[in-house]
Amino acid sequence: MPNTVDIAARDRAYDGFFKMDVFTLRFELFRGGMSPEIEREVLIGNQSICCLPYDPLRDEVVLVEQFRAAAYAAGEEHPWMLEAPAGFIEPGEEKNEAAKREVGEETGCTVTELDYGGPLYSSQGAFSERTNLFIGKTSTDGVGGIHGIAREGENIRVSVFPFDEAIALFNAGKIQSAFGALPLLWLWRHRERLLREWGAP
Amino acid sequence: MPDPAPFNRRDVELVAKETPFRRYFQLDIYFLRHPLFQGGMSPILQREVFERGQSACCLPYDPARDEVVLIEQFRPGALAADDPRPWLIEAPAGIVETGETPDAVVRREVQEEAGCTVTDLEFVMDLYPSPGATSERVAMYIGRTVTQGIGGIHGLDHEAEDIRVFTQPFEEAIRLVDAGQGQTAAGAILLLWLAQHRDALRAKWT
Repeated sequence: MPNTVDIAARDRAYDGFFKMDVFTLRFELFRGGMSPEIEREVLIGNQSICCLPYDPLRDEVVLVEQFRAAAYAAGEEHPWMLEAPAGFIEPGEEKNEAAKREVGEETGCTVTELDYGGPLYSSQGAFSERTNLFIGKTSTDGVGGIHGIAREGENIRVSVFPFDEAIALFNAGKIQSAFGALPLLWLWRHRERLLREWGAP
Repeated sequence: MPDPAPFNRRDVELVAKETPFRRYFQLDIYFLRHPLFQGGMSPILQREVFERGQSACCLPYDPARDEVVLIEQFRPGALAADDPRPWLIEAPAGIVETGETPDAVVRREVQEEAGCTVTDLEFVMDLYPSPGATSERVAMYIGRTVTQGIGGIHGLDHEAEDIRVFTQPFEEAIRLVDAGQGQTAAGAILLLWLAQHRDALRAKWT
């Protein structure tokens, strides 16, 4: 199996909130030998997390809704997206801590346990971001309202949904963000196990 | 459930847009204000967007054999993430150019990347893979195929594609996702969606 990459150059072509690197490289081929030299532009994103708060006693999830500039740029008619809390892991932070922190900041929920679905590349052709997928055990009692860190321009509406209603919204095409689709499908698949593990008071 | 936010893109005030990076890809900075849930408008926000446009992704599935077709290829995103082996296992995908339809693109990409003919397409969703960073939108499908004789090395030489194609029993593929080894968001979503709809799809396609 190929495993060799020869990097002739790696140039930082843009350095703003995001970074863009241009790689000049050759990679090993399955058919043998090395590829010709190619140039590939990659958006550099830190590792991120996505964590869906789930109350196993009420069988409810917490979703956030917020304006997404990238959806606006894509021409979306309604560029506010329903999704699970998500964000970048800060330097020195563990992914589990990041999941609990983001859920707290965006929803006011306290997460007491985490179920982990692994790191998943968002857009591996040209973006280095890996999202670490979590379900977070929480209580939805009293959860809701408008949250977000105003100085970061966050304006987040927090809503509690019965799980069945949330998965029906997904199946009706109302949840388009990977940060909504992934954890809802994961929870659909692993809900019985999580109810067993987390359901008993 | 709450009503959707009662505003749309026409309520967003685009103050300025700059393009500080443009080569093969493009990165734009949007300066904009948008309505707030509590009323009023946000201050002018600066948001960087990696402009990617429309793409399409399809997991080929043989309903009779209960097998999927997956591909493995070198991925620059994984290299930049310092992945020890930046080759990823995923579903075939491609960029939808202006004038093309997503379903035509996935049929072509599945053929080029996996040597596989898709006879029916089941639409799964329009996916924003990372809406905090990129405008990429992916039309996601399960494609009906026959996996007999599928496999080997594929890809277009002039696009420097070098792709290993293999078939896998569905149960084996979903076990990897369950174990946290799904590798890509699009691949994991398609396998989890197939788990949810597999009985209905097999009834429809066999």
